[in-house]
Amino acid sequence: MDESRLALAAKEGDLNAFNRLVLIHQELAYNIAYRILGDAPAADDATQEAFIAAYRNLKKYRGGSFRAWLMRIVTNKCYDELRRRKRHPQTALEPTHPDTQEEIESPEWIQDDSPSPEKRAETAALEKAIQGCIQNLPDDFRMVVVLVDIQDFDYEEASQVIGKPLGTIKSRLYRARARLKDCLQAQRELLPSIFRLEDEEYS
Amino acid sequence: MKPQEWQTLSAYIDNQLSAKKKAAVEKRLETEPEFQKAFKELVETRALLHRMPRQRIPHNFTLSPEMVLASSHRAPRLFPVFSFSSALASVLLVVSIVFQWGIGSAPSAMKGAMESADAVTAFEEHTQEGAPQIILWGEPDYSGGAVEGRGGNQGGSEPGMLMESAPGDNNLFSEEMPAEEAVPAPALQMPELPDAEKTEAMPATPLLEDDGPAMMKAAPEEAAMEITGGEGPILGIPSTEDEGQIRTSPANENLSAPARAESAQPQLPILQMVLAAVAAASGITAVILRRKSLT
Repeated sequence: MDESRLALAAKEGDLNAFNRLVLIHQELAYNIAYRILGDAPAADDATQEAFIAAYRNLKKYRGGSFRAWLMRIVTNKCYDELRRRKRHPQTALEPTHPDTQEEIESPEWIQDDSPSPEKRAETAALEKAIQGCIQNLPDDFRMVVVLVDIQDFDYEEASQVIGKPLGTIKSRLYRARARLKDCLQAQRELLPSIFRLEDEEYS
Repeated sequence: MKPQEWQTLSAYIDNQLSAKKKAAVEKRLETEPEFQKAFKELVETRALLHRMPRQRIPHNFTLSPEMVLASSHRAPRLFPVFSFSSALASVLLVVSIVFQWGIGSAPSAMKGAMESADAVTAFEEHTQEGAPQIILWGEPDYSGGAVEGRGGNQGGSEPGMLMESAPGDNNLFSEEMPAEEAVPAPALQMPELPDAEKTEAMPATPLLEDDGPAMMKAAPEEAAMEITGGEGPILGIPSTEDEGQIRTSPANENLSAPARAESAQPQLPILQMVLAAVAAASGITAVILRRKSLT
């Protein structure tokens, strides 16, 4: 059953049809929320709220890309969370080692499929460095980079999700990339081994 | 590198350039080392982003019927509307009550002006209706004293005429009262005589037509003082130059403000009742909606 038929059935009140759509898009939705918010619990909440909101507002879906329509709801929920954070800034409580008082890495950072522990650690460090640079971007730039460069959305679909014209998408994207380039260049100087690994993979 | 050049390179990486622009970029890449370096850095950045690992979802995000039901029991959209309308109606009710108190505490002079305005209005209505107006001038003075009876007009006024309002009227007599309508009081009614005969009938009275206005100038205050009192009409004797002119009473000009205020007063209680009803209905509806959302 294709997405359009599932969406039509869901509009008529079929919860099972809607849940099938959830299963198709939940990983993408969660990853977008995670990259935008940079926080797993927040991404969890935003994704769940987005699916609830999508079900309640199915009447407003008028055909076209269901994925784009759904991800727009996800990005809106992320915007809500970002605005809430600005109104009520919070300091994240990272667990620290009792002896060294160093931050203990979150399990998610070291969770990947790399074969060796060293490679796994380097990958985690690289991901943390990149995610740190992404978090330093303005919210609007971050949205575009996450959709286009991380989640492989094309310009038109990104334009539908964000609700801005193509020219705005292009402008925000090149500016985001330029900032990320500078940020990653600084990280490269701090963590040369990580980027050396990447250079070897490119060559 | 200029921002426009960065934008061109970024679009080139995403294959978003026209054939012409694409060719221009490729030519620059072959000839300009700095352009080439910038291109390489952008490509690496994009590649690093693209290689970011996908996060595993912590759980399925499918919806249960309980979740759908719980989400539908949130505060209804109309709740803030009814709450706001109830508050607004209450505020407007208080404002209208305060406004009413403000009108009620108007100075007593306005009341007096209102009453005099009422008298004029009633008098005008009465005369317009054609009701006979009994006008009693002061007692005829054939000794040459003040001739009250000559006040107010150039001709036709009979000596010895007293002006009094019709019974039950609290009229304010003004100079606009046409003398033709003056009806001599029965008790002091004098036979109508032509002007020449009048003059002859009162030889002792140096009544000449030219003296009339002068006499009237002297007389008005006395006549007014003699006649006024209680509910009697106030005789307004015009000056010479104002004889025969129809003048709008000053009391009528003041009529607009107090009359306006008075006319607004009956509408205020109605408005207050409406506002109170709206406030009560909106508030009760908001409470009901809120209780429904919580159950």
